[in-house]
Parts: sequence; C-alpha cells; structure tokens
Amino acid sequence: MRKPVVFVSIIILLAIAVSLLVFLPKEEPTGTVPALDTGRIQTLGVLSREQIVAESDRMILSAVTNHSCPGIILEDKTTGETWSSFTTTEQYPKAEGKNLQLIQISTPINIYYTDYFQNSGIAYCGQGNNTASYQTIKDGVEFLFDFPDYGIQITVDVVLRDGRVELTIPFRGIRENDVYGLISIDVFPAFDPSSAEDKGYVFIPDGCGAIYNIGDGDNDSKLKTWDVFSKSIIDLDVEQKNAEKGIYNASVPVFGIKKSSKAFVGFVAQGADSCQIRFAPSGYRLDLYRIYPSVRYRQWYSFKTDDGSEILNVDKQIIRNDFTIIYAPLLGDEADYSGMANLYRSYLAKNKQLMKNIGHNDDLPVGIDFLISVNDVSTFISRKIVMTEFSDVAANLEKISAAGLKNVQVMLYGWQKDGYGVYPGNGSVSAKAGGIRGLSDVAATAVGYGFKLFAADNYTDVTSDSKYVNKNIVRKITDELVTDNAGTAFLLNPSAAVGQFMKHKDLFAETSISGFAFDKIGKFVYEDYSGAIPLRFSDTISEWRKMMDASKKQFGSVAAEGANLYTYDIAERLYSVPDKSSQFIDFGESVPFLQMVLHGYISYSSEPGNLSSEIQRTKLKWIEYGTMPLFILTQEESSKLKYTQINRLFDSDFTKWVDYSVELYKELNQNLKGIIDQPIKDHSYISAGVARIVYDGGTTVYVNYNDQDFYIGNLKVAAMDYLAVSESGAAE
Amino acid sequence: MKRIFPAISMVLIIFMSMSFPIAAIDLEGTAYVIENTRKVPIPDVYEVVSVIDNLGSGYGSLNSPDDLFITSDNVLYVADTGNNRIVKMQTDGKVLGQFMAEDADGFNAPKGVYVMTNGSMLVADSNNQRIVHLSSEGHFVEEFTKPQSDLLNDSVTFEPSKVYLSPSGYLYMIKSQQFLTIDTNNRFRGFVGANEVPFSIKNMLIRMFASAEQKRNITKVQPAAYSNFLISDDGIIYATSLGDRNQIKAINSVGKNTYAGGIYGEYSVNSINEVIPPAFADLAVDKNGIVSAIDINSSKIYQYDMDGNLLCVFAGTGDSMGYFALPSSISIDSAGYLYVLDKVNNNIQVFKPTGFVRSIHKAIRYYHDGDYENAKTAWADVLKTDSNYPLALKGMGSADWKSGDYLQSMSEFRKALDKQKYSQAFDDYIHILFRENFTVIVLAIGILIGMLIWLILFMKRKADSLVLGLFSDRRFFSLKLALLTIFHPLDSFYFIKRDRNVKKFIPVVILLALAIAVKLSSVYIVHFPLASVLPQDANLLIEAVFILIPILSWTLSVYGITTILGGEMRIGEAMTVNSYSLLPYILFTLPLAGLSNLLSSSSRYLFQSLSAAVLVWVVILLITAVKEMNSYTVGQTAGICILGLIGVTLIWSICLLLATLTIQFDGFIRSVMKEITVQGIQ
Repeated sequence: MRKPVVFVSIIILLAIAVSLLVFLPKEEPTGTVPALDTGRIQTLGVLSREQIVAESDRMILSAVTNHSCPGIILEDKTTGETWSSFTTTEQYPKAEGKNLQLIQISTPINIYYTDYFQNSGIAYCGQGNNTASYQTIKDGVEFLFDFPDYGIQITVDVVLRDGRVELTIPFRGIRENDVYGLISIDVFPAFDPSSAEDKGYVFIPDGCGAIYNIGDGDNDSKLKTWDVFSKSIIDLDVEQKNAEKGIYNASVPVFGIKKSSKAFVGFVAQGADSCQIRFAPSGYRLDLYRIYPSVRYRQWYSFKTDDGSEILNVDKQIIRNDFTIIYAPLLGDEADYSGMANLYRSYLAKNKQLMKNIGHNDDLPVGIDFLISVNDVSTFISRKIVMTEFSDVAANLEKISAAGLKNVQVMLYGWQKDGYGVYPGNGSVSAKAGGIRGLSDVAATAVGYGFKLFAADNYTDVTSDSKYVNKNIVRKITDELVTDNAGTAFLLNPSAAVGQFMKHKDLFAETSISGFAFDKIGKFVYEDYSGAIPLRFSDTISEWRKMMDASKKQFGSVAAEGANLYTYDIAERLYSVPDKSSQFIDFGESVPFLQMVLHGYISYSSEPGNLSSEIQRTKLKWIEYGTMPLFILTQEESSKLKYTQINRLFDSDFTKWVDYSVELYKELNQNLKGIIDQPIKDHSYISAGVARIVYDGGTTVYVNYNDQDFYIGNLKVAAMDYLAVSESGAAE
Repeated sequence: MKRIFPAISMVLIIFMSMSFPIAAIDLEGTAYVIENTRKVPIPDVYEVVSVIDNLGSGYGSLNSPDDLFITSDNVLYVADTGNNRIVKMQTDGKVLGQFMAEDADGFNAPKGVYVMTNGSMLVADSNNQRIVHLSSEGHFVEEFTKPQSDLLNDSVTFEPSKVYLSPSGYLYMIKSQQFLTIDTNNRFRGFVGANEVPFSIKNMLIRMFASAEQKRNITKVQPAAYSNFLISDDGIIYATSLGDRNQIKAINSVGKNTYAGGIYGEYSVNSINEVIPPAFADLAVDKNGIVSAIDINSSKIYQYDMDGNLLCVFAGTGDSMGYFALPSSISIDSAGYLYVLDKVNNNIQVFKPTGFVRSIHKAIRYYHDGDYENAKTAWADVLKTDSNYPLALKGMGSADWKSGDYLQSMSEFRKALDKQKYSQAFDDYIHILFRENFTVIVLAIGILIGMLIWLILFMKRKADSLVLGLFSDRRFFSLKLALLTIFHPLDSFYFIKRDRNVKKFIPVVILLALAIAVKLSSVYIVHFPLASVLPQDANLLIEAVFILIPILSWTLSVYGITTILGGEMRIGEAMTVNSYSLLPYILFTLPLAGLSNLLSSSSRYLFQSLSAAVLVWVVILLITAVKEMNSYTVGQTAGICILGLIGVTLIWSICLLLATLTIQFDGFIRSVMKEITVQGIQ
C-alpha cells in the first residue's frame, strides 16, 4: 500500500518541479536575441528622396538619403539653420571619389561585431551588402539597418519631440544570428561635425567639462573615448592611478559642438550606463571634428596570459538595454556650453532627474568635515590613531556656531571601529573616539545648531585588513577576483553592500544624524560576475540608489561622492565633485559644466581648502565654480598622519584653520548668499585669467586670477580677488 | 632556467619590500619629497598654465626639438632639430621668427641654441659638425668648426650638441665626459670639468688580479658623459651627466665641482619592468641657484636647492598636462615659470609655481642670505600649507636651535628625520641639563651604578648557590637555569644535558617569544639618532625573522653535522641550549635601548660597541653549547662551527630555491586554471 503512495508523491513532486522550471520567470538568457527577420526588410521602403517626417512650430524633421545611407535633417523654420546626421560632399569635398570616406561622412551608425574568437570589426551602413530601409512613424521615422554579412539587424526610431531629435534604439529591434554578435553601435557618428575652418569648439563631458578648441591640436589624430560613469573594464590599479592623476570619466552623458552662432547638444537619456562618448578630432579617419555616443551591447573583458600579455575578448551575454539619445539645436547666445548646460539642466529638472534641495533664503552652505580615526598600518601591528574624538567634534561645532557659521554640513570620516581605510566595517563606532554615544551626542549637537551631519562610509571597497571580508567579493567574467597588483584591494558585491548597509543603518536609529555619505558611489560603478546572473552597471546603479534611498528615508538626507547623473535626484550633497577636466593636452580647457547643471539645486564641494597649495586661488575657484567652501579638519596635528594612507592631509589642525574658515564664510555668505539657490546662466572667460559668471537672477560675479587688477568699465576686480555685481549694477 | 632568475629576484624583492613597506609605491599625480627612501606627498608645486604646440599658420609644429633657451627678457628659442631650424617665440607661443643657416649647408639637426644679450645666436649644428653664429635677425655671421690643435687628433670628432658662451668669452660645448672650449677665433682653449671614473670594487679587483691581456680585452671604463649644461652669469657651469651618482654638478672657474655630491633622482621601472637609473637630460637654474632637472627615464622633474637638498619631485609620464612623453630640455624665465620641451609630443609645457613652492624658495633664499629670522617666518608659511614638509621642519628646527629652544628644535628635527641635526640639538640640551643639574645627575648615576653592582653580585651569589643544588628543588627550574646560563654557562649546559629526559618545550617557546618581543620593543625604545630601524619602517615579520631564522637554521645545521660526526646532542637539547644562549640578548637589549636615550650620534660607537658585545656574548654561548653538549675538544668545536655556518648558508639557499619553485609552480597552476576558465567562457 505504501509503495504506490510514495511513487505517486514522487511523481507529483517531479511534476511540481518541472512546472516551476517551465512557468517561473526565466532569468536572463545567455546572449541570444531573436533571429533575423528578412521579411521585415521587404515591408519597409528604401528612402530615395528627402521626405518631411515630422514638423513642430519651430522645427522640421526630414529623412534623406546621402550616398546610400539614410539620415536626418533638422531645420529651424525661423532661421533656416539646419543640423544633419551626415555631411555632404559639398561640405566636405575631400571625400569626393573616396568610397570609404563617403560612407563615413554619411553613415548614421557604425556597428562593431564579433565572432567571439577574437575576430571583431567595424561595419558601416551603406558599405558592401549592408542596406537600410525605413518607414514613417508618428512624429518621425523608423530605420532598419541590415548587415547581412554578420547577420545583424538594428532598428532605430527617430522622432521630433519638443523641438529636439529623439533617437531610440529599442532592444526589441536588435536581431542577430548564431555566429556573430553585436558589440556596440556608434550613433550618428557624423552629426553636424565641424571642420578646421569653423570657429568654435567641441564640448566633452570630461571631469567637470572640457572644451576642445577647433584647430588647436592639428597633429592629434587619435580617437578619444570617455566612459560614462565609470571605466567599462575595471582595473583597480588603473582606477587608483587615474584618481591620483585626476583622470576622469564622464559624469553626465552629454556632448556637443559649437560652430559660430549655432551649436547642438546631445545627451543620452536612456541607457547611459552602457555608453561611451567618443571624440574624433580632425585627422582621425576624416578631417572633421566629430563627437558622438557609442552604445554598448556586449562587454569587453581582458585577461592576462602566462607571459604577462593582456588579451581582450567579448562576453557572449548581451546587455538588454534600450537606448535613447536626444539632440537639441542651439542658436545665437544660447549656442555655447552655457546654453548646453542650461538646456540639459532644464531637461533633467523637468524629468525629475535633478531635485532642488536649496531654498531661496538659505545661507551659503559650508563643509566642515572631521577625520575621526585612521588605521595606521605603518607599524608592526595595525593600530588606530584617533585624530578627533566625538567630544572634540561637538566642542568644535559649538565654537563655529558661536563664531557665526550657519548652514554647516559636517561629514565624519573614519568613525568606524577600525578607522578610515578599512572596509567593510561592521557598522560599529570607534569606542576610542567615544563610541555610538559620542557620535549620537555630536549628531544632537549638530542638529541643535541647525547643522547637517553625515556619517561617511564606503560600501564599494574591500581591504585585505578588514576583519569582515566575506564571500561577497566582485569577480571578473573569468572568475578571477577583481583586485590590484598588490592583492590588497577588492570590491564588494553591490547587492551585498546594500544588505550590509541595511543592517548598519539600524545601529544609528537612535541618533539624529542627517544621513550617510557614501564614498565613491557617485563616481564608480562596476559589474560583478560572481553570481549566476551577472550584475550589470545598471544593476549596480540600482543598488547604489537603494542605499541612498534608505538613508534618505530613515535619516532625511544623503550625500554621495562624485557627480554621476544617477545621484542628482536623491543626493542632497555631492562631494569630491570634479572641478577640472582630465587636462589631456589639447583638451585642457576646463569649463564648469557640471557645476552649471548642479548649482542652485544640490550643494556640492570639491577640493578642501586646507589641502590646497594656495588657499586664495582655491577660494577663487570655489567662487567661480559656485562650490561650497570645504575644510577637512582634525583635533590632533596632521603630522600623526604622515605614515598612514591618508598622508595627503597636509595640514588639518582645527585650531589653525578655524579662524580663517569663519572669516572666509562670513565674507562669502555676505556677498554671495543671494545666489545660492540660483542656477548659473552663463559662464565665460572675458580675458585670460578673468571669469564672468552670470546667475539666473541677474547677479554677475567676476573672478580675477591674475596678479594685476582688472577693469570692466568703472568696476575694478582686484588682483587675485572677485567682485559680485547685482542686477542693478551695485557691487556687493 | 631563464625564468628562475626573475623568480629569485621576485623572492628577494618581496623580502626586501617587507623591510621598506612604502618605498616601492610610486606616487602618480602627486608631488612628493623623498625621506629615507619613502616618498612623502606634498601639496602641488607647479601647475601647467599653457601648452605651446601649434605654432600657427606658416610655422607648423615642432619636430623632435632638442633644446630650449630663454633670454633674460623672456624670449624663447627652440632648437627645432627635426625641422632644421631655430624658432624664436614669446612665452605665450606667438612665433617671432624662424631661422635657418643661410649658407649652402643649412642646418642639419641642430641640437643646441644659445642666445647672447644682443639677440645673436650660437647654434650647435650637430650633423654639420660646427657651431653657427647667427645675428639677432638670423643672418649667418660665422661658423666655428673643429679647432686645430695637437691635443685634438683625427680621432676626436666635433659634433657639438649643446653650446654656451661663458662670461669670459669662450665657447663651451660638451665633449662626452668633459667640456671642450674654444675662443672666438676658433682656437682650442682646453678641456674643462672632466668627470672621473667612480670607485668600484669590481674595477679594483680587475686592476689587482687581471692579466695585462685580460685588461686589454675588458671594455675600458669610461666616466659618465655630460648630457646638458648651462653657464650662469657668474661663470659657474651647471651640468647634468649620466651615471648613477653626482649627476648634477656646479663647476667653478678652476674646474672643481662645488655642488653637493650624492645620488640625484631615483631608479624607475620601465615599460618592460626593468629597474633603470635616472638619466638627467637637462637642468634649469634660477637666479637663486635652485636647480630643476629632468629625468628622461621617469619624465619627472627633480628640484634641488643650492646645497643639493631635494625640494620636490613632480610630473611624470602621461598624456595629460603636467606629464611628458620624452622631455628633452627645461628652462626657466625671470618669473620662475618652468618651460619643458617634449621631444615626442613636440610641445612646450609652461609650469607656474604655486604659492607653496614660492614660499619654499623664499625661505631658502633667506636662509642662504643668513637672514634666519625671515627664513623662520617663511618656513612657518610653508608649514601652514604642509605641516610635514621636511625641509621646513629642518629650517624651523635650525632657527629654534639657534635661539636656544633645544627641545622644540629636537622635536622638529625628529619629525624631519634629521638624525645629525637632532643629535647636535640633543647634545646641546644634555650639556645644559648637566651644567644646571650636575650634582644631582652625578649622584643619581652613582646610585644607579651602585645598585647595578649590588644586583649583579646578588644574582651571582644566587647563581653560585644553584651550581650545587639545582636538582634538589625543581621549583622555578627554568628560571634558575636561565640564571646559571648567565653566570655559569658550562654548568647550565651540563644540567640541560643531564636533564635530557625532561622536555623543555615551553621554556624554548617563551625564550624565543621573549627575544622577538625584545627586538620589537627595542625599535620603539632606541633613541632616534641611534636607531637602525624607525618604527614607521619596521615590519613585524622581518623583525621576527631576524631572530628566528638565524637561531633555527643554526640549530638545524649544527644538529645535523654533530649527528654525522659523532655528537651526542639531541635536536630538543640543541634547541633548548640555543634558546638559553639568547638570554644575554633578551636581558640586555632593552636596558641598552633605554641607555641609548642618553646618547646621540656623536656617542653612537659606545652604543654600537655595547650592542655588539651582547651579540658576541650570545655567539660565545652558542659555541660553548656545541662544545659542552657534544663533549668536543676546542679544535673539534671550531671545525663543527665552521661546518655549521656552511650548513646555514646551504639551508638558506635551499629555502630560497624552494620558495622560487613554489612561486613558479603557483604561477603555472594559476595560468592553467585561467586557461581552463577562459576556454569555458568561450
């Protein structure tokens, strides 16, 4: 009797298991997309003449064929000015008779393909058997690009929306065969390019923003690439070197070209985490200056062979992203990087990707950060050096409040049990510095004075000296651990980081801290292949946002290091915001593009004043870039840090800096308080070393970095000084 | 076999890096100074304010330029070698003219340019083997070729790469390891500033033992060649030379180097991971004598004061501003801006000094002018920006020392790691302390010595009593044995041998642990000027290894040899007696370390002698143990000890080889695993 029961039970269990396998939602399939659809190509037409596909009050969008490649033209009805995705031979006669160049000035997309065996290449639309067809859709046109030699098809929708071109590459429109895979697509690689004769510049989202003056570097013919948010291939040694050298990625996926009185700005509105911005200077394939996004579908990875050489290969799994890129035309006074920033800011604010955290009557924010303790590894056994006890922080906050500092944002570094530099921690607070009770008292003191207090922590790094190293270490696709050459630095799995933070934050439930400040998460994103399903860049960003959300919900506020776009709608404070570009030779002119996007919405800080080699110059930079003043201080002398990992805290003695910071704050708050909540409307250099910044309310600030006074009419900007002039013309 | 040597090197590097934890770390993107082989970051010293690369319409770009000259009124002249021209420009890059030789030859790879106060130029037209004199408008005036002289035979070539006109009116040019001078009538005036072949043990041994034929077959050792030079208004020749020391020189009118001798620059690692010495290509000297030199191997700029003290290191290899592909020349204008020519990127980067480095220069100027008060104020300014800047700490220390504030100056010299000056301040401090408290101190020393003698006599009496009665009361047996080892080592070893059936594992572990603890503690206690290892440079593993490895390998070696050669000692006994032999080290190291705090560098020989005496005592005990435990004669003992030392060397070699093989095997396994993984992905 029992045997049939057991048998039936097994059958039922097996049936349940099979059902679960069949009906439960499937995880990401490994690298396959729908097969080719040749019938679809036949249903679409081949564009043979210019055709208006959309029209608004101001703009007309037309589809057109140029040298067997389809393209688009955007025309301003009022001025007749046009922006097109291609260049004609009339505009670029050098291409005449050169087939490849004709294709390169015309192609709306280039694709990079691979057969997964280290054979990869580039294919252009209009080249060989490659074809393109189209059909009109609402407010625009849909192109279907077919690359039959590689079995790849791509659908691209282009519509006119709000007077801008909106280009979408839906993932559902990608088709592949079993042999070849799509690596990436260069989108509109010849969109309204500039020639050496044009007067203008290319805007590059490098660091805070950089401009490449057209005609400046006539011998540079290399393609330059900026990864959006983070390097696409993570190498911790490279990350470290770049951080030290000040080499940046693109915090915002924005690009543009200014030519005389017209310009365009482009930005990736969807899928930015898998994008690069590429700048092709004159001399790279064409004698044209071009800038365009490249969207990624497969990840490159590298591995070192036994002889030390590095081999690049491509992941088979496809990234299932939709991409949207917006191109906006700019004319007249708006046709410069200020206009680009204004437009992008408006777009972000309208789409709730940039939240306003600064009130109209707010005082100037000032950052007074304290280093609590640090792990000293220079001696036999690692020991903790307490640089500032919590009671000292409280006493110092009392002093600066009494001295008249308002709207102070305090950040505590190294409050953890193991001190600064040992990650991950277990959430417990340094007992030597005063423990959780001490920290709680500091937070209460800060709140009492109307200050904000953030506890800074790091949920990305794993150091080998941490007692809490666990299995959740990031791995490469090759299953190797992501580590540095010394084997002492690793990365924490983003999901595990969230799990840890959720536990840690509860330990602070009884304190009145304003929130957590998350090191690195606003400037560093990575992938993790340690699990069955890899965590992509977008997944990591999503995890970072969970942490930021949790801090905001529980404590009311959150701060993030860096200025990557995905922090703008959550963070109330951004720190270590780039205040220069990577300063590549020829790309060296930095412009405060990021600051122009952020100012008036989010408080941001860059270099601490007490770490600069010339405080007056740093002060002027703060004023020019609208950056909040910042000091990172300690109670103990910074000579104690000489042999620790933060030996770049050259001088941090609170008693030495307090008077200066108070004096500086009072001066800046008096002169600049009125513009704290206003966006920067215009920024320019009116002379070498003299910047002019115009705010939305009409206030103009002049900053003179020169050793000589500078005059604007009757107004004098003293040497190494600044001048704020209200809309009425009164100097402040 | 080829891969064994790199692997051995790696083992050695790992071992060495344990003793110098930070030195190996390169600082990229940050200016720094070097302090005891450790790189200490400092605030920014220079910022790039402009890059001159596109000369504008009609002038194109520079092409492999070799030399840069700036006149006193800040006009730049570039020897644009690849374009066979001299380019004259403003400091903002605006070209004022380009000059070729107007004669039939034209320039052929000009590598050097010098401009006189009236604007006329001397060009080292290297491949044409001449120096060309051009007027300020660029017209050909005259040429200087190889002068006729009996001292310059046919084998002497004349390919001037750099040229300078001295205040005395002679033309100077580099001729390998010396300077060749000619007058304005193209007559040879002699060689100046010959570099010397540095002393080398290898060369000395060759000279001593090689046969005449062998000596002939060995490549002649050449002194280091000069790479570039300039002559200051007061006639001093500042020059850079290749080689691994004294690469920067200031040669006076009688040909003597007045610049501090020493090693300038640092070794760097090239693209194929070879460690290479610095190679200075050029230098610039400001009006105060501050030298900025460029190292082409690291692309870094090293700046020294007039005494050869390192002020800062900055720049490096890279493609962003402030970095170079191949710097070929450096020059300085009247405002202190540095101009660096890049031969590969074909540009000039202009570096503006920051307020921080300007303060440093100001302080140095005051100090050298003997204005110590103002120097102190200027150094205080430097410390406001970087409270750890070593030269500022030394400057403040010197000022405080001069004003008699010895304690403060000692603190500053201690932070600056300046043992010599710390010792001077300390000696003065002790001198005053003694003078003011002479009676009390002498009395205290007398009492201490008295107490010490009493303690020694007391312990001696205790030890004497133990010789006969050790086994009658086994309480505190190990402690008693220790006491005996100090006063009656022969008896102590005899008792260990007699008591061989009782295991002494715990005392051995305690003694070894104590020895390590003493070693570690002494690092903290030894007075700063006498310390061989400073706490921040010490490494737990290395310090423990210094104790354990010698004693363990000696024990193993001697035990092995005595076993073969009829010895009686067991391995446990060997370990026990050798551990007890460490007792003098355990007992006297810390008191000596404490005593060192009353001594300075000037009395370091006393400290070193006492420390050496303790070690000699330990060695004597180890040898005595071999003799007593195996009942050897003195002669046999000596032989065993020699063999023991050979055995120790053998053990260390085998360990090194095993470590090497393990690393190789590990690498092999890893590469196989990686191959499998990558194949799996594909």
